[in-house]
Amino acid sequence: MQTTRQAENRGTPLLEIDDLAVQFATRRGTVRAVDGVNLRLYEGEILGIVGESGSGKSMTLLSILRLIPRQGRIARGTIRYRGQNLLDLPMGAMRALRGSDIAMVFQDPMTTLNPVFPVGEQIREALRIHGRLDPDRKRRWPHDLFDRGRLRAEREAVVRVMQEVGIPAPELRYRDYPHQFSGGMQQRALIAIALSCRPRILLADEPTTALDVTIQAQILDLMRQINRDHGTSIILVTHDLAVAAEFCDRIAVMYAGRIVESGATEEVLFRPRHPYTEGLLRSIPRLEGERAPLEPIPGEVPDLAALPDNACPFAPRCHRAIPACTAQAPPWVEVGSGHHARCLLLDAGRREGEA
Amino acid sequence: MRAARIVERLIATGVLMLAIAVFVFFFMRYLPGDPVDLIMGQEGNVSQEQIDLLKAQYRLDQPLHVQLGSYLSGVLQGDLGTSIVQRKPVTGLIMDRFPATIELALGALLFALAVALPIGTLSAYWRNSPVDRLSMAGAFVGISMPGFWLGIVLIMLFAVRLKWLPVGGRATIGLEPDHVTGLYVLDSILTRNGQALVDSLKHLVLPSVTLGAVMAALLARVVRSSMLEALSQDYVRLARAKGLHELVVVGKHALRNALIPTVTILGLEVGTLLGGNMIVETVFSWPGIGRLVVDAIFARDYPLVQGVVIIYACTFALANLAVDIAYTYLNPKIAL
Repeated sequence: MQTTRQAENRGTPLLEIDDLAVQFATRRGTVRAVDGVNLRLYEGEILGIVGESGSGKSMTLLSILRLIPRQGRIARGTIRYRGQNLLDLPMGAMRALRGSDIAMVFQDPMTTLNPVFPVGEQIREALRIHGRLDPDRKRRWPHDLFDRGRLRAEREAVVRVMQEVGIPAPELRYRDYPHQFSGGMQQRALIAIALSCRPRILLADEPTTALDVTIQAQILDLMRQINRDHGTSIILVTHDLAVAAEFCDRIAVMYAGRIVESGATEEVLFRPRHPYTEGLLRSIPRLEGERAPLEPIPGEVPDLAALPDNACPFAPRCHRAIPACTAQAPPWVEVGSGHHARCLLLDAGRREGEA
Repeated sequence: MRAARIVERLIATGVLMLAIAVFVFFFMRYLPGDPVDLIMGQEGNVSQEQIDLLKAQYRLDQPLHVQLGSYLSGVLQGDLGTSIVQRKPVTGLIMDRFPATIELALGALLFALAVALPIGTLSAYWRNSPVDRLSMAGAFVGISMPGFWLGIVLIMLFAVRLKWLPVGGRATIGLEPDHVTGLYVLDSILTRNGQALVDSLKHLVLPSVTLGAVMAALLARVVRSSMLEALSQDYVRLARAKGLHELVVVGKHALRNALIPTVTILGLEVGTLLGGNMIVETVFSWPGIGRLVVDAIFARDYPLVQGVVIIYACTFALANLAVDIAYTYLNPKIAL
């Protein structure tokens, strides 16, 4: 039984991340924010990355556009988009991809929109940079500044994008500043910026976290509609398992900078194999079924500056940990069709089963 | 809406001017010594009658409230009285010299901005780099340096030793441009007088640098810190994610935000440009109102001091109004 269309019809991945590592030099030592992440994103699919705060999900996403904070660096790995390693691209070529092929929606729309420019102008800027308004025409600055017809055409294009993402009365709101928009409308404006150049990949970093629940649903619907209408592949980073369950085709669970389990959404959520995923699922309150006390995962997220090399980072919090867990790095085990988990116990179990 | 607020502020400024006129009026008379004593003192033997005559001539024999009343009614009609020492209308004396002061202040402001914006921005962009450390060390020196000393050093170096620039004054005698606005540089351009333009610019350089140095240093530090703040914001990351060039990310998205605190400080510093000019005008023999007022204070020339102080206050208030108006354009969240 195949649970997703992607599992049936994968082809070559649109985006391949291999052995990605992001490190921050701090006074306490090197923080390994992302440590050996492998990910595949296929055409038209929605991939979810879930995990607690500080698990490295946002850093993984920012690495794709090479936008990690300046204190950090990408220490290892490759990120291949249509065959080329983005990490090797010259800056100019990287800029040409940003916003046009790969676009991003950020977590906090209030602080992400520039407060001093009208929203419409910020969308227009996104359209302009990649020459999407009039591709045949060479840029002829400063004559453009005085070309009223062109300006009107650009405004119309912006208004169309604003309409598409569901901003009401876009002609009137074009000149409004971000602080005159509600949170949901701000996020729609950000999505409009991301969508304006019809990217093939949309990276969404907790796009609904700053919004209230009803608005969350609207934004997710909008993103799903974009995925359906344009075939845009989406990577959604979230700490909300319910959102991931509802929205994603596949899920990757991150813990302490590593992917601990990945697979089709139904597989991961209904047949979790990694103790961390199980723990996450048990700590969600349920409305139906019998009432049972929530079981939070004991302990705390480990210090990423002091991770042992040859041990499972989850072992100190794992109720099933055995002595071997702190003595060797856990293997990446295939536990089902396209379903993998990084746990020593699974490997041992499989070997026993084979024997 | 904006226009109505501006008119409101202008009216408030007018009221403030009157209050300042009253304050200066009393304050000057509270100072020991009066102008008639000082004038007569230089002329040797004088009788009480002559003194009384002179006092009567300047109406200094009348009760204070009467003097104040006639002064204020004059001010409201645009007549700032007659200078006791120079025996000329105060308005005329000020108007002859005011453009020189404005030209110097604008020159200093331009110099300060031209230095502070690029240096502050680059320091923030390459923070903790040699560029940053060197600029901030330079800014520290600039803030610590007294204006008169810097002026003298600049004169020694560029005027006396290298002979690149004139020692002082506004223009070489005979090369002054025809009077249009009183600002020599502007007048030279308006009358298409190239020779006068070069000459007045040469005269303007050293005084502007001297007067603007402290402001440049202070602003560079403000620009750097507000730029650091702006560069760490999410909207800068969005600008990069859009695929914008770093020049646009920094020069448009970050700088526009960093200008908001910078302009606030700029408004406060306009006072320094006016206050500092007395020293700089003296060092460079610049014929502005700074020197006029210093001489007037020593001579207890009441009407002239009052007139200059009113003009200073008025300039300061208008400059701040201009800054506040600029502020509403820079920060869309703020209304005037």
